[in-house]
Amino acid sequence: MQLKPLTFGRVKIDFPVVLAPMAGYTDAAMRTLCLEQGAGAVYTELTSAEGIRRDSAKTFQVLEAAKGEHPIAGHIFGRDPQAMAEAAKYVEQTGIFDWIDINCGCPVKKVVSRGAGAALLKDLPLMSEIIKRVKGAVSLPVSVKTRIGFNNDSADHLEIARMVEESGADMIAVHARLAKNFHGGDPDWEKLGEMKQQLSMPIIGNGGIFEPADASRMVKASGVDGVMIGRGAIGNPWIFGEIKAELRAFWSGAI
Amino acid sequence: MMAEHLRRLVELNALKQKRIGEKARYTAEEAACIQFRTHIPYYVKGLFDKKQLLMKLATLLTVEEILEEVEVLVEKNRRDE
Repeated sequence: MQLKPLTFGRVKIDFPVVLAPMAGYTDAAMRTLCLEQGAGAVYTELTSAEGIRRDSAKTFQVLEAAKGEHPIAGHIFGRDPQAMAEAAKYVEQTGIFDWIDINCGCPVKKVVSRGAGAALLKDLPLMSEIIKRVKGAVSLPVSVKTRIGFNNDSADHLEIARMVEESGADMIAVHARLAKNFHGGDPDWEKLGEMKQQLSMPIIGNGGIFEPADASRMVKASGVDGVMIGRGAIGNPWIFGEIKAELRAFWSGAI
Repeated sequence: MMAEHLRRLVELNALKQKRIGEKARYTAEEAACIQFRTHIPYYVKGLFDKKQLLMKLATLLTVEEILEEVEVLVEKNRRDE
């Protein structure tokens, strides 16, 4: 098994090792640096659907991108399906973005307390409705960024995967930790593998990638179609080039 | 890389302010330096005695000042190695 170019809808990511969306970090300056260092694609910071609806200048600033910044996803969050559909439409109309990504995995209190981000994992019918409404509102491909669950009592990773695919998403990126664990503890890459087995759409794995060797291990353990790097890329945009070299060595060694 | 990151932030802020057209509270350079405060701890991760730099950050509002302080820290680490 090897990382191949990843295609969903009209989007093609030649080297599927991508920069995760991170509020306060993944601005255009960081994104362009990471793309130059080899990142296959980037995401904007979290963009509030309600902010777009209320014409918030701050929200629109989050959606600014530098010239030639591609492939890039417009990353939106919210809990109201109508607001999310409108936000997705706006993101599409800017003409800047290659696809729309829906946040269903942010565990931060400020987001979860509003019923958005990872809180959607506690209400799969609502999450499904959001995906369907967003998908119906735009012609761009739609992906979902989520986690393997909210806590041990909420829906499990396989239920989530099934629902996301059945709701019409074109791709899914999954952080291999429960939302209740934030970034603590070891990521459960095996669960990513189980999701991969069940899905026919591409899956990108996220969580616990700080060294190039981590990326190889994740791909080997789970068989995911791509790797997403979040905190491992902050202050370390070189990691993408290093992973490129590592994966090349890893796979040529395997052959 | 850190200098390049900062320079791009300044450019982006300048573009943003030009487009908005209103008089901003901070200059593009100051705004970039403030935004960069979240990134610096990661760039200097693993360096000895970085605490002083991180404490000073709140008062550094030019690219030159920030890069100078980082250089001092790097030099100190090089000497103490």
